[in-house]
Amino acid sequence: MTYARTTTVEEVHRLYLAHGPALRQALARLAPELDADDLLQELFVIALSKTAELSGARSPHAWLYGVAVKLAFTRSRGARLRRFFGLSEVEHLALVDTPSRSVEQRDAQKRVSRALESLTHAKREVFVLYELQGLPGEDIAAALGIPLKTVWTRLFHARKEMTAAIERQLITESRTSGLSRDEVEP
Amino acid sequence: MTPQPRFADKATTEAERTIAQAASVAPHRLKADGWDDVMVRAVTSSPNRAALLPAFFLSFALGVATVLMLKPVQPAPPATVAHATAGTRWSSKTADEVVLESGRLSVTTPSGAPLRVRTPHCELEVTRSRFLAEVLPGGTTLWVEEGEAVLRSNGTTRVVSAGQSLTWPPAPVIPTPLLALAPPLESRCASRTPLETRACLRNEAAGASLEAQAALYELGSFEVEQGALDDGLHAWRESLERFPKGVLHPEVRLALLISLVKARRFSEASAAASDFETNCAGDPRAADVKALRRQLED
Repeated sequence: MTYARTTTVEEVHRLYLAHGPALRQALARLAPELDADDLLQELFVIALSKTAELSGARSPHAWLYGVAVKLAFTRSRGARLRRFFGLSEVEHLALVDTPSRSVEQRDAQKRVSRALESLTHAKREVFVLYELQGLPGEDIAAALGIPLKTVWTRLFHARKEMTAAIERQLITESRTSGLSRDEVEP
Repeated sequence: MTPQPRFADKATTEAERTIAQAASVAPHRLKADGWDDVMVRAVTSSPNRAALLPAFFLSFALGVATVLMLKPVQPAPPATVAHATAGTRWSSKTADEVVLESGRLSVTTPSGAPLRVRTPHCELEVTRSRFLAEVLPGGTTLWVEEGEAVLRSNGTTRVVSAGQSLTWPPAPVIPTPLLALAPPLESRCASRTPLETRACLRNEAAGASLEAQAALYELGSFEVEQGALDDGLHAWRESLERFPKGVLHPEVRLALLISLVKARRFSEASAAASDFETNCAGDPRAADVKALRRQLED
């Protein structure tokens, strides 16, 4: 009797241990209004149900990010619809902080999170995966199922929009605090 | 269009530095029982519905009989339901027996009648239980979410209760001296992000020096730690091809063997053990490797 080579539960478990924290972080950045732990669980339940597909992937890492992106988009859209119809309360889940984060890091996270809301989901996905999660362009292309050139094009526009959005936040904060831009910048 | 450097590597404005700061935040650790939650959810979710036909027809037939006879009857017992992932090979000739040849099946048996599940490695008997069974070449793994399952094989009986899991047959015991593998030599690739570490090790592994040999050994260990077992095995096999009598060749052969045993790829592990005995006959660990190979072949 021969068996097709498929990823085992144990191997998915190892992927969970190796990549779970980073995937959870990516999910929190892609869908900050949702519960990242819940999304991470669902992501790996999907991985367990699609082990044949996971085995065939060029990079299991990229495959997992591809599922994460689709999951975050689908769930976010569902949450927005529910809010539109008044079916659920808007719940902004605060980032769980640990003492290991500096004040600057926490502030930076908040600004980036707010700026990400202004991007379209296509640009947000590429920006989060490249700039914040550090994935190479080839893995992003594989994860999103788009050509590499499209990754760079979306990234180019995303970077422009993100830096502009954060600049606006910094100016607003400096005006609110009564300090000049020069005084805000260390 | 070519990529620009990440803001994390090169930030010139305050906005870019803000993004770099956010990118430098390390991810949180996972919850200690996070994987258990995933498994419970996997057992109770049903992405691929595939009800047991006999149980379905039994319930359907009971319903039709009720309508035709217009007599009050006892409600049909809740049907046993099974969900199989794509590619699973299983069959059921009677309502109380399932044969699972390969793949994964989650089963809920609400009624009192026992259900027997036969796999190539063992037989399971369950009553009022919800469980997941996976059959691979190396063995059968059982996770019980509710109730209890009794596993029988070659005169041995094990009871697996709710919240427990068991893999049968048990993996061979790896002799302790074999587990004390030489740690990878300190390389310039340590203390980086996983992607950078991988790229750095691949770069270091080019060439014919001891550093290249060490980098390949370390790359194999790194890939296995990252959950990419086949990539790890590939790195170690490349090391043995390029440095068959290199300084690290016994450690590489042992690392291959131990990883294959842990992954329950027993026939490959047996071949790796024979390979070690042939190529490292004078190694003090050869006797332990021989003992391990005998366990694998039993």
